Amino acid sequence: MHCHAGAWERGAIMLKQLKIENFTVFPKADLQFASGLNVIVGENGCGKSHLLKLLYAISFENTSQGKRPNAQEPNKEILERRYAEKLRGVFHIDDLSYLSVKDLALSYMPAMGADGQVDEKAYVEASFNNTRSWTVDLSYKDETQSTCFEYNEDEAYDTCKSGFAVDHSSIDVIINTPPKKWDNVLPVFMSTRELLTIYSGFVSIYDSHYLEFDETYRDTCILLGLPLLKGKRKQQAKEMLKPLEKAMGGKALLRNGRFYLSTPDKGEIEIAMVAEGQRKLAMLAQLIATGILLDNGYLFWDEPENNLNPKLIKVIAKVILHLCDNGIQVFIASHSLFLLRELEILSKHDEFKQVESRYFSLRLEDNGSVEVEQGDTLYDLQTLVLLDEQLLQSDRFMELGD
Amino acid sequence: MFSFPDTLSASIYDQWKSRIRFESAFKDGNKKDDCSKGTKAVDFIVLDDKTLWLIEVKDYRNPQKRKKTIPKPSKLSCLIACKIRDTLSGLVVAKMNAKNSNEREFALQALKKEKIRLVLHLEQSKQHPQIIDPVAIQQTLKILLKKIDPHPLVVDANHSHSVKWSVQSKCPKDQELYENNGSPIFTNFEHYS
Repeated sequence: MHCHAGAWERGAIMLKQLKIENFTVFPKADLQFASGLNVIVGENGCGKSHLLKLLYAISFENTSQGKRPNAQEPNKEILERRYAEKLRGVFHIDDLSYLSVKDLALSYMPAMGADGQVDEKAYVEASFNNTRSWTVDLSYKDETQSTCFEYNEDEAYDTCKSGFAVDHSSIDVIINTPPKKWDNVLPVFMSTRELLTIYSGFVSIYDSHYLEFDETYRDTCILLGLPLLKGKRKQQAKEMLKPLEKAMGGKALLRNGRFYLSTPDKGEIEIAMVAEGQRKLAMLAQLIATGILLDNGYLFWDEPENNLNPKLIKVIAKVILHLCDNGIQVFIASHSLFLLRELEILSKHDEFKQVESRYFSLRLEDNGSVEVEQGDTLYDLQTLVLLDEQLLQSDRFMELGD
Repeated sequence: MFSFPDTLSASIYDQWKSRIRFESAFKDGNKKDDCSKGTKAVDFIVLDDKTLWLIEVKDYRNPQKRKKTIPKPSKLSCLIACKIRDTLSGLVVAKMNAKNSNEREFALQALKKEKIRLVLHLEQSKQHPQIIDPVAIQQTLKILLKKIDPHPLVVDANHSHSVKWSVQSKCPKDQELYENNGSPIFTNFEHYS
């Protein structure tokens, strides 16, 4: 992988690598990330969102505890508990055993341990860079911050078999190597739908009732409510907000716990009355205006193209690359050939040439497992179902005749 | 109808005798293994100062014809990749073994060039000019052939991009985009032994 110096050299902590074994639909995968844009493609059910959520959960927990008053150094006990809770919350599951491959009834043999026993653990290892002078040497462990955890399912599995409820308070995650220090930025997760319409009171209701929303909704709503930037960083955000505000025809405004679109000609419009695509842009704009998405951090965005017409997809493609250029490490999962092409076109422009990219294609095997192909360009991938389907549609069109 | 400026040498490679012999060497109707299915070939080879251009033409304008002889769009890139592979190996053989001196010399000159460019001329019906997304074809070609040419071109008579030759649409109804009609296989290439 080619690693350009820019974003890494800014000293930001970023995800470098993710190794997983027996995790959801992935028997084994080793993903190496770019400091800028990371694009995941693949059919429905291939685990794109799983990857985004896993990376989000890890980066979230590598930060959140360190932000508390009197925070301790990262340690095994805290992280094991927090990872387990976060994984349950983000994947919206009661039982962590759902995260292991065997629960998907795959037909292939799970990994065998050295003793010949079936290894039913899900294994995850995420590596971050954390030095200012990071060099391309993935094996030089002293310069990496590593988070490894195994999901220990023995207890949960026995419980399931005997029909008992899983003890939610049990620690089901085993940390092998805790990170050496806390990360300093909270990651952002943007799901396929906008959250501005459900924002009002959402966090309070989420915390006091059981809702069928995963925890990323709660986390992102909290970020949406952060105070807006002031001073120099506000100016920086203003530049990035320009294309979004032009496309929305106004500015996102949070007043008394509700979102509005503030427009020059029609005044303040309640966000529910604004088109869904514009609400999505407004959500992105608000996260930029608060500074959470500005110059340092992570953005995990599931299907950014959802509910957007091509004109607006063009706008968000540019904003995504601006974010990367500013130092945000962006991970998107997409089904949109239009978005991918737009990103490719923009990446040739001088202003974005330095943005490092990485592409991942998730390929569904006959046995139901998923293999990961990866490369620095879209063309390093052999499996691009999006393209194949586009041409298969041409076949069907052609059969209609003129 | 293709028109080439004087600065380019062009040849209808598909009609080379050595190409036909090369194909027959790998063809045996009685056998069904991979080595007996024959070879494929691009339609044109064009040479300029430094570049070997391999050109394939696909004409999807005639609905009757396209059902019978033209590959489905989803199979097109793979077919072209095979044509490129077989043409390059065919050129090596022609350079060494072609009995026709024009073919041998053309192959020799072709293999002296510094780079290879791939071009697909893709013509579609006026009623449905974008049934096949040319960019999708270009992207799949790029995936398959990036080690040969990282920037393959997909062009048509009206959008010829940076290619140095021109194409005129002769008869959209029932004729091929190009026809030999007794015209020489070689254009602007003078080698007579």
